[in-house]
Amino acid sequence: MLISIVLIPLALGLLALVIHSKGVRRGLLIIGAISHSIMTAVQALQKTHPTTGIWIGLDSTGLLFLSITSILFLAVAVYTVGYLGRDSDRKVMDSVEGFLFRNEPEAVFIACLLLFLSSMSMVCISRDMGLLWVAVEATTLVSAPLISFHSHHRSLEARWKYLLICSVGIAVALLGNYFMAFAGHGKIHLNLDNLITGAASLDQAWLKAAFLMLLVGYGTKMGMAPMHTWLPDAHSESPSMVSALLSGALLNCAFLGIFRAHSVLSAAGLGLFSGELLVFFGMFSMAIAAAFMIRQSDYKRMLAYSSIEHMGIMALGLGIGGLASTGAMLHAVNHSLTKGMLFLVSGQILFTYGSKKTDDVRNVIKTMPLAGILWLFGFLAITGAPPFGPFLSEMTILKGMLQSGRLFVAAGYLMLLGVIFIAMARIVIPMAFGLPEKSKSFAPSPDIQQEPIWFAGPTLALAAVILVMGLYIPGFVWNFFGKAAAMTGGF
Amino acid sequence: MIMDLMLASLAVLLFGSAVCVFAGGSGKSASLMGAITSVTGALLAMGAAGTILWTGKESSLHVPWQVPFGSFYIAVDPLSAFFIITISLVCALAAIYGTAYMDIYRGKKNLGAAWCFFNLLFASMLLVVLSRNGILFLIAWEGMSLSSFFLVMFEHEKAEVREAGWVYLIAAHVGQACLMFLFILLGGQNASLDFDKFTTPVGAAATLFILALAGFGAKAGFVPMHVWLPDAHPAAPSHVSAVMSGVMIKTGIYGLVRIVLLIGAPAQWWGWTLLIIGAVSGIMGVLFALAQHDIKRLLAYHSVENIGIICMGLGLWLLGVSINNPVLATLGLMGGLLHVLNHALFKSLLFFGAGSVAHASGTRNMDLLGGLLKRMPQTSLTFAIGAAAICGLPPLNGFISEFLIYLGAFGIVAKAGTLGSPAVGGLIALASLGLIGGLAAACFAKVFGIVFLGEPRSENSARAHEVPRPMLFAMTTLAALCIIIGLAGPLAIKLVTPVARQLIGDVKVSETSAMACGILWKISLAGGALIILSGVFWGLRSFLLSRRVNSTGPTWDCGYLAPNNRMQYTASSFAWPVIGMFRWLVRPKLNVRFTKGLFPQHAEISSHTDDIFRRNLFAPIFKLIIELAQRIHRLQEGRNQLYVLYIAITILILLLVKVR
Amino acid sequence: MSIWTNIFILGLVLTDFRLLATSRLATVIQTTVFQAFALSAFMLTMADRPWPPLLIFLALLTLMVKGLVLPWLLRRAMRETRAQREIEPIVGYSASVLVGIVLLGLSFLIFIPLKTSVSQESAFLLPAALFTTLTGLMIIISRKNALTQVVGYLVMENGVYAFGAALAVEEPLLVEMGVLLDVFVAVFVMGITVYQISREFDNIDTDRLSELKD
Repeated sequence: MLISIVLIPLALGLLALVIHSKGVRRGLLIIGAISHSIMTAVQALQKTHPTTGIWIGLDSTGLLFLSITSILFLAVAVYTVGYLGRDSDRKVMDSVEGFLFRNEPEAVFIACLLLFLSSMSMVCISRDMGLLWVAVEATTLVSAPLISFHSHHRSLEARWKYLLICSVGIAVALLGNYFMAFAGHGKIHLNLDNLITGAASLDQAWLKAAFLMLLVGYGTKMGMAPMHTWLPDAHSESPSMVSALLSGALLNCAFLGIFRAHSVLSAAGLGLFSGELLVFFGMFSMAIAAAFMIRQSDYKRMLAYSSIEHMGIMALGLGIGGLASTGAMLHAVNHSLTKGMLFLVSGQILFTYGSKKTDDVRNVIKTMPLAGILWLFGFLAITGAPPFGPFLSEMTILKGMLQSGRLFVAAGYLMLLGVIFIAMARIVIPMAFGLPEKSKSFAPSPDIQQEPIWFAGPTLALAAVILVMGLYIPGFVWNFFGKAAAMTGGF
Repeated sequence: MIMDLMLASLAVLLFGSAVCVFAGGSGKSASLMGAITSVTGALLAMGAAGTILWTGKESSLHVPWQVPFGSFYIAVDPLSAFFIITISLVCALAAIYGTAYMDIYRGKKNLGAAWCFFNLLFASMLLVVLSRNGILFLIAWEGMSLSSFFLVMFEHEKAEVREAGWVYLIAAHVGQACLMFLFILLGGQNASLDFDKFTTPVGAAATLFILALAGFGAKAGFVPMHVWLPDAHPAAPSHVSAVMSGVMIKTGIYGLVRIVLLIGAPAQWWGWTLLIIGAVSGIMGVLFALAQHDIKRLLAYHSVENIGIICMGLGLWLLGVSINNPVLATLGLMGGLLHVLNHALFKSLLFFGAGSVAHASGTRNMDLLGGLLKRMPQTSLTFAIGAAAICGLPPLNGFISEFLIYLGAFGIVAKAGTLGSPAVGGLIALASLGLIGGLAAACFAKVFGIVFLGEPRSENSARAHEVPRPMLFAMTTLAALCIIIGLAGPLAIKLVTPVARQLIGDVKVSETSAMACGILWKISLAGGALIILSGVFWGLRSFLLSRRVNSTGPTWDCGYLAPNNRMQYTASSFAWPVIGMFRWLVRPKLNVRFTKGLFPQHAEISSHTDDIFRRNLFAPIFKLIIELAQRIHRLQEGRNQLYVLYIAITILILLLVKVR
Repeated sequence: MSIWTNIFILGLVLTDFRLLATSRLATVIQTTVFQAFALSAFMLTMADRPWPPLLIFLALLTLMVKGLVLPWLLRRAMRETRAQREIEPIVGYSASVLVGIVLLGLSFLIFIPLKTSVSQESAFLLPAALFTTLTGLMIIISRKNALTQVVGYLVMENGVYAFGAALAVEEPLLVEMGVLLDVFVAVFVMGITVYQISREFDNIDTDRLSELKD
């Protein structure tokens, strides 16, 4: 049953709220992650898929995003259990201002994580624009408490901004949904298959308006400039595994919303209209991200802006269409895994050095060799250096652009990628190498293991997948990405 | 058979790099394993490449590879074979040199990682010249950039090394971006990026050439994309500097030649562009070299100079092809390519020498060195040979390749009779080659005079001693090769003739090559005579002196009563007459405090030369971008109200403008 | 029925202006109650009589959630946080009303190219709904009190809901109810956040919430 992919994490999450034993609760998280992966794998291996459901169903695109979410969540769950074991109960020193704070109750945290998984799965499997909207809104609400797990004034501020801006955005997306219903003269069901098959009868002006609203609405959630403003704050203040999930899974879900809208418009013969908008906003996001990554002083914010950049790349690829949108699908996987890994590593660096300021972090490669290597590895991967996954996807997008004759878009894209590489290198390389400055002495506490197995395991596993994605993509996988990018949906 | 050898070579190198990581604990075993695998890999590769050059045939291997647009398609043709030989030779000797050189870092540094990256660098350079698929090429290219980047960062505790590494990484990545663009454009609508499926889109030839020039030029170090080079090469350990300066930058030349072949018939302006870039790189490179105090930095600038010479050779080649003058094309190409080999030999020799000096005295600052001739005789001798070779003096190898370019240039000037445009090209080449040669001679007179002659200028320099045997072995071998090629120029030409035949494909190639050989035999004869004559004179001198009593005294003290080693010429003062002449171009900064008053106290003079391209071209661009970015940073000023306003404005604009 | 629809739509617009013009938080919250009433009423006037029972149910539900539960929640939060009125808005009240007039004009302008067969009864329905949405945005943008901003979100959501109400006859009820539930939870979660903010900062002035920036 497809719906169990939503219901099981939901049930486990509710269960986590009422269970008192810490061990069992953390066990629930792992069970949730593993069962979700198994169910996703089962869905992926099935020959026939129930795509025809009115409310839910799984097409290639949905399956793709569901798999990303599932893999990332598994890695994050393992990391989280270790993380909670380390500092769930003790009072934690704030890294910026030095006051002590308590974390929020662990039960709420674990429950929200599981509910978050449940709602994201709902986004992936919903076949109805209305249901999709409800699910996206639900992701906002259940992830808000995750952001302020370290409950102090900055995380509260981040959570407030996240809630307000994303809720506003989601309300706009709802407007888009209604506009789409107007486009169908109020007679058409917002089911995707209905919309696509009946696309010819839709009112074009209303459809355009609907797409604009969905673009702005889901774009807010996805971190598309200029609606991205909540993103750096939320990512820098939340615990690293939450940042990993936000960047790697949540943004994708919002992207899926835009993808669905774009596929409806393409079916209605307005693909050029929506594509051009996607290209514009994609480029704009990349440019804004590039500007903010230059001289960025906080490395978690740097990663957050990098997510904005990559969402821009995906939008760009989708907007260009053809080979480029296959590339965008591939990029979704690559970006999620790489960024997830980078956030987990950044969390470990943050724990050891006690600072989010890049200037305070030096010589990671010596202090914590694995984290240092992975930090460099992730940096090279995320900036599109071969032979890592993102290189192939960015290359595919570039090829798609040039094949459709978009020479200037391609040149701008490459130029922005270059600027971002330079800006990121300026931040990452001094962090990984060099000697700590005399004035800012730091002492990693010797009694705590710097690179415990719960950190090494998930990050290394993600790194391995990223490497393989850059070196080996069998034909059937490639075809799968092609199908996922196809605008019609279905297998 | 050939491909098996090449694959075996790559496998050995990759195996070596993997083993070195795990042998990291004890430096000795890592060095040993790294060097053994490098040398083995080099021998295998040279065997394969030698066969190809001998037979002139091509061998290839095409294995499907499950990656979008990619395939494992590698091939060896004469062009690749020539570069494989150059790369393997230098890398093998560098590995041998490195076993002893890296000893000083034992226990302080992770030698396993260093050797791992060394072998990776070697393997990826081989793969670059082997690969015939865009994706494979880009992966190899990046592998080369990254492994050399990590080698540059070897002493990352030094701030200037980190800076150098950063600049290098940027240059490499910008080049890579151009290459991505280039390959995809060439790939057109094909699903595969195999080189033999490449087609030039109509009207895109110029774009492609410019992209290739930028992408490969950034690696090769054409002015003004050379800015990373004088920083990065000195930062790496000396044997790696030798590899980077000697062969890695040549992969840029290889790539340019390969892509120009793929694009199709060259336009005349391509030749002109290369010629001008070559002349500018050559002259600027040698001028900046002259102004340096750091011996490795100086050598790095000389790499820019020599790349300029190679580039001029290639410029004449393209000019020759486009105006249908195969003689010019052949001589230019052969000169350029042979200079690739020659420069690889003498530049790695010089870097080895500089490394030995640094190894023995602990400094690379020439103003702290001196008098090393007596303390390190063998190093000094080989360095002297390298220095003479880089100046293009006969009977050494540098002369041979420059001579071919001269020959081509003279030919075109003489043939034209009047001042037609190709003749102007020839004149440009002649004039700049002459200027470069003279300045290079001045520069190496300075280096050799300051570093090896005179009295030590510091304690460390006085305590210097001859370096261990593996290092001497590498230097001696290279010096011997420089002499051999210098004396047997025609044999060296045989090495590049198959390449020229492949690239130009004209009967005139053999003719021209035979003509050049004829002249070079005479030169070899004269060179041989010169050497025999010097031998005879040396013998005569020894014979005469052996009858008398010899006494050794201090160097002539010019009438000073208490000669002090600080009274000697410094590197800066030695170079000043020339630098002063070119002050308008090089812009050295002088820091002078003259003596004043009746009782003069402290006085000082020092000079410093920034790279003008870095200071006046790239720095302002970077500054502009950063300022712009910081202005944009104000958008994220912290208030939610403003953020929601962005959303509201976006909605209103979109609804008002886009709904029609 | 058309006359009644128009009356309720007019009511919606008027409440918007009242929201823009007032500084007292209690008044603002009370105005949203009027809006809820207008919304659920005109949802009914859109449909032909006899009203389908499901529609009546939805209208009642809307009235209950938007007119009863949420205002109650907001008033509670207001008491807890001791926030009585907007002290110093970013955009003044008369200026807000002027902006509101411009926004109303823009709302009409936007719908010129958008013709629809739904809700032909009233030419004002769609512009009014959009205007309400924009009013909500305007309140969020121009006010500093975090609780006022929550109300702003609610108003914006009301505007969007008005579009939905126009479609309520055809739209599947399930989605409408999901929307209602989501709004309820959203305001609830925001309320909790505002409460936590007031505990942490001693007030809910959003000026204090602007520390994270670049």
